[in-house]
Formats: sequence, C-alpha cells, structure tokens
Amino acid sequence: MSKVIDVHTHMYTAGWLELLKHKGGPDLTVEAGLDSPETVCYKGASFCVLEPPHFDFELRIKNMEKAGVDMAVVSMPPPGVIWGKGDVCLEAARMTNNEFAQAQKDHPDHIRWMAVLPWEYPEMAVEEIKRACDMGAVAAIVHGSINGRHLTDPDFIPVWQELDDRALPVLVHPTYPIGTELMELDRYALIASTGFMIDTTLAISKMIFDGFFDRFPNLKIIASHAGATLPYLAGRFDRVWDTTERAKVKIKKHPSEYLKHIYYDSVTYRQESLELCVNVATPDHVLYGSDYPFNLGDMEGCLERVNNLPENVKHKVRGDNAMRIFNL
Amino acid sequence: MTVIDVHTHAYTREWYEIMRKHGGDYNIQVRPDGKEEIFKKNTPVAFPQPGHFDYDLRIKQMDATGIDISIVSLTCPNVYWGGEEISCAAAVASNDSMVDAQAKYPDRIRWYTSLPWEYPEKAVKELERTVALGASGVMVLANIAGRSLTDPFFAPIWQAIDDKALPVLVHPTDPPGALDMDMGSYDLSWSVGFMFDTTLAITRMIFDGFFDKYPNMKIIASHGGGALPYLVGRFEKGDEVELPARRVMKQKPTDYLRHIYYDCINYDVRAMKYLISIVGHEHVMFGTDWPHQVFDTKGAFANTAELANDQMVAIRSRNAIKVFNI
Repeated sequence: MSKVIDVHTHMYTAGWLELLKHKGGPDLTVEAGLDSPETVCYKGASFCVLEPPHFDFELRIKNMEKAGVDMAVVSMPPPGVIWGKGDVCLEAARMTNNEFAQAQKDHPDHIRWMAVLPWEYPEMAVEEIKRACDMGAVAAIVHGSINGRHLTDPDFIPVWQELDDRALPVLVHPTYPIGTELMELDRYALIASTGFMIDTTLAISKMIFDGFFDRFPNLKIIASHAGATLPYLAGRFDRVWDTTERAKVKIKKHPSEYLKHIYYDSVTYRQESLELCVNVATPDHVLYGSDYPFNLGDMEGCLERVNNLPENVKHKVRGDNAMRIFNL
Repeated sequence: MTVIDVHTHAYTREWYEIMRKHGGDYNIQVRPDGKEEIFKKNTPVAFPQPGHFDYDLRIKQMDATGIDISIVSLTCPNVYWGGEEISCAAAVASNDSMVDAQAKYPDRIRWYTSLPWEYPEKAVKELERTVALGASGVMVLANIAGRSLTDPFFAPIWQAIDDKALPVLVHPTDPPGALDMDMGSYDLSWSVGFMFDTTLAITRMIFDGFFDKYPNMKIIASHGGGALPYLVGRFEKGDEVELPARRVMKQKPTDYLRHIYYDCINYDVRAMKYLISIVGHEHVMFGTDWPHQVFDTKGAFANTAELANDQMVAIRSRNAIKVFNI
C-alpha cells in the first residue's frame, strides 16, 4: 500500500504565539476563544482557532497514526509572520523554522516541513530560504495575499526567483483576503468559510493571467483546499480568455492549461468535489491534505475520500505524487 | 422540446443614456477598437453588444439556435446610482422597454423587473407597477452599491417579493473591494470578481437565515451559483464545528443550497454535471448570458445534451415553466 503523506497540515509554535501576542497588534490579536482557549483575530474577527495539537508534535504524531497518515509536511498557517517590522518578522520566521527543523530531527519518519518566510523583506526572505533548505525544509508556504499585496507584486520577484531556482513546492494558503472589510466578512465567520476561498482563488487566477507560471516554470504551486474554487471555474476562465483581449495580454494558452500545471490538496469535504478537482487537475497533480488540526481539519475524512478514488488514482494522491514533487 | 433561457440580458438606449450622464463611478470608456465599454472606476463591468439593444436581432438569434422563450434582464450596473430620481427613472426606462418587447413578442419574451433598491419605498412601488405590467421575476445585483443584500434596510423589498413568491435572479457586478483586488487587470472582474460577488451574497443569505424569513421567493444564483456548489462540503463541515451563535439559519447549509435555483452557465460539462450532483437537476435552468461577449448558447445546448433525457428536459424548460409559471 502506498504511503500517506499529508501536505496540508499545520503547526504553530509557543514562542511564535508569545511574539504575536506582543507584536501582532493592532490588527492581529489573540483573544480568548468562544469555543477554544485562544483564537487569532483580524480586526476583532476570529479566523484561526488555536487547538492543542498545533503546539504538540507528540500528540500530532499519535493522531496521525490513529488516522493512518504516515508523514506530515507541516506548515505554519495564517497569520504566519506577516506582522511586526523587519526584525520581528525575521525573528518569528527563524524561530518557527528552527523549531520545525528540530521536529524533523526528533521525528525523522513522520515530519517534514515548509519554510515560513518574511516576504515583505525580500533580501531577508531569500536568506531564510537558503538557511531553511540547509536545515531540511522541503517546501515553502505563502499566503494568498501578503498584508494586502498581491503575490505577483514586483517586490516579491527575488523571493519567487530563489524558490523557482530551487524548483520548490509552494503551498499557497489563504488568509483574510484583500477587501475583507468591504466584503463584510466579519459576520457569520465568513472569513474562513468563504473569504479564504476568495484569497486563494484571486492569488492563483492573477498568477495565471499575469503569465507568472511562464516566468517561473519550475515552481510547484499547490492551491489549498482543492484549489478553493478554481476547478469549478476552469471553463469560465477559458471562455473569458477566448472572448476578451485583456485576458490574453500576458498568456498564450488557455488558463485551464495552467490549472493542469499547478497542484492541489485534497482538503474538500465531498467526494464529488474531490473528483471534479482530480478531473480538472489531472491525477498526477492532486496531493493528500487534511488541514489538521484546525476545527475544519479532517485527516480521516479526507483520507477516506482519497481512498474512494479509482485504484490507479488513489495511490498517486495518497502519497506517490508528494514523494515525487517533494523529493522525499 | 421547448427551451427557455432564464439568463440573458437587454439594455435600452434610454437607460444607457441616463447611465452615461448620471452613472457616477460607473463610466463609459471608449476601447481601442472604438466600441464603448462600461467600467466602475477602472474595473470592467459590462461590454454592450448590438444584441443588448435590439429585440429583432435577439429573436433572430433565438430562432437560429432553438430558444423559444427568453426571460430578459437588465444586467449590471443596473440602476443603483444617480440619486433617487435618476435611479427610479432608469428603472422605469428599462422596465418599460421590456413591457414593450413582451407586447411585440408575446410568445417569445418574458422579463425580470429592475428596482431602485436604494429607495425601498420606491422599489416596492416599482415592483407593484411592473408585476401588474407582466414582469415574471426580479433581477437584483449581488451587492447594492456596496451594501449586502441581507442589510435590514432592504427588508421591505424582500418581503414584498416574498409575498408574491417571485423568482429573483441574483446577478453579479463588481464586488466590493474590486479596486483593491486589482480586478481591472486581465478582466479579473469577469473571471473571478463576478463569481465572488454571487458567492458572497448567497453565502450571507444562507448563514443569515434569510431563506427562513423569506421562504417563498425563488432565488436563482447566476453562473452555476458562482463558486457555491464547490464550497458545499466546506459549508457542511463548517456547520459541524462553527459556533451556532455566529449564524442564524435553522437548517443545514446544503438544505438551502438545494432550496435555491441555478442557471447552467458553467462553460464546462464537468462543472455542470457536478452542479447537478450537488443541487439536483430540478434546481438548474437553461441560461446563455447572451449577448455578453462570454455568452455560450452553444455550450448550454451541448452540455445539456449530454444529460439523460429527463434531466435535459427539466433543465431546458420544465423547471423554468414551474418556477416562472409560464
């Protein structure tokens, strides 16, 4: 049986949390949660509920074994390290990456990790990529937007270039999207349910139409949550490209060709959705992921749906694709 | 077999000229090819085509492609600009042109009324007036000049619509935040911005308990529901873990997704079949988006032709006959 490798699974660190509490304000605060001891809020709206396994590798591995997950490529979810000025941002990143490197040493059979980077300080970010990769990072994580800036912002080019030179996988993970206040996402906990999907979708559709994947052809972008909305919108993207001039300014082929170039995790909660994702992405481009240990995370359910895929597809998604793209 | 197009658009010259003069942030720009296009500041909103203004041309197209009835609607930017008097006048101009079209082609044209939503009393009056003149449904944009459709301010209009159990086409426009999201680039407003707008509007309605308050109206979510059908699992899982206090609805999110209606404007048979698998074929109706440049009459026919006969008939006409009392 193929190994099960979870490419969308999260850890925070205790040191990072302390730093966030002191330096995250005024926009980012850690509040007493209504349904958990603590939750991270953006301008008062809760969007990342902190769970005990986020801080405890032993507990995580126990739960992985229970769920039948062999290896986790852990990453730090929002708000990551995009708060605080340069020194704080770098300190938060280094502290996190060091702790993840240590976890890999302590649990070499179960843990790999994605580097978290101080994106707003490109020189520091490039240095941190080098340092993290030397310590064993197999990928990087980035938010769908960085403090209101698009991933295609020219300031980030040196960071992307370094990642592309190394042909690293990059998990594009959502945060509260640009326009959160105007879209009134503070109500009904809309940030996580819908806002996150908007953040990922906008980030990657902008990359596609911007010709980003032609400029950085070696990067392996992983679109979180089964591509957010992208697989369902593939036909519309092609139709817009076919019929309007401005959509064609930077790219010479159908957007759906780029949707087959990038990768997707399996964090969706319906068999039909996962199947549509596999269909649009192609079976070589979907990777098991669970979003554990967030309250929406689901190691067992996500694995069960992957195991329900046709025999020749399921092994790829369980772990074979991840072994290949992460060089495990 | 009868074919009914529930998502197809018409402008009228009079409305267009009012908008040109009083549209505010909505402005008409001349493209490099000399044609006119509507923007919200610098976000593309709509690119008028000859077919938008010409019912004879529309009927010819319908004959050529095999569409029996078109239920036409004024598309974005609708009439939510210019102040009370202008907004009301723009609505009347558009609605009256549709009354005339139905009179000229009684077997072929039905229409959705557009309302001055920013002025609830006037909107209710215009609703009464236009339903008496034959409107079959209501068209509303997914945000009213930046305000959510669930804003209590609009409650009297929704109540009047619900009392009449009318179909309501929720149609996207530039979403709030479009400028910050840089949707002027690469026509992102059309590829993703519109989808966000519809998705957010209806997600809010679901979590707000809107369909418990207004159980009789029949909401139609444009473009295969934006991204709603793909998010169904996330809504379900979220409902298991989210605090009930944050939401007001009485049923499960999926119950509401299966309560409302969708057009079949997916441009991809896989997405359309997926939509049907989530919401059921009795809640999907034939739509083309004609004559916008992204219209897809050919795709709508080709995709529905791949379905079992009963499903195809339901989507091409049976559901619309029921929903619109045709």
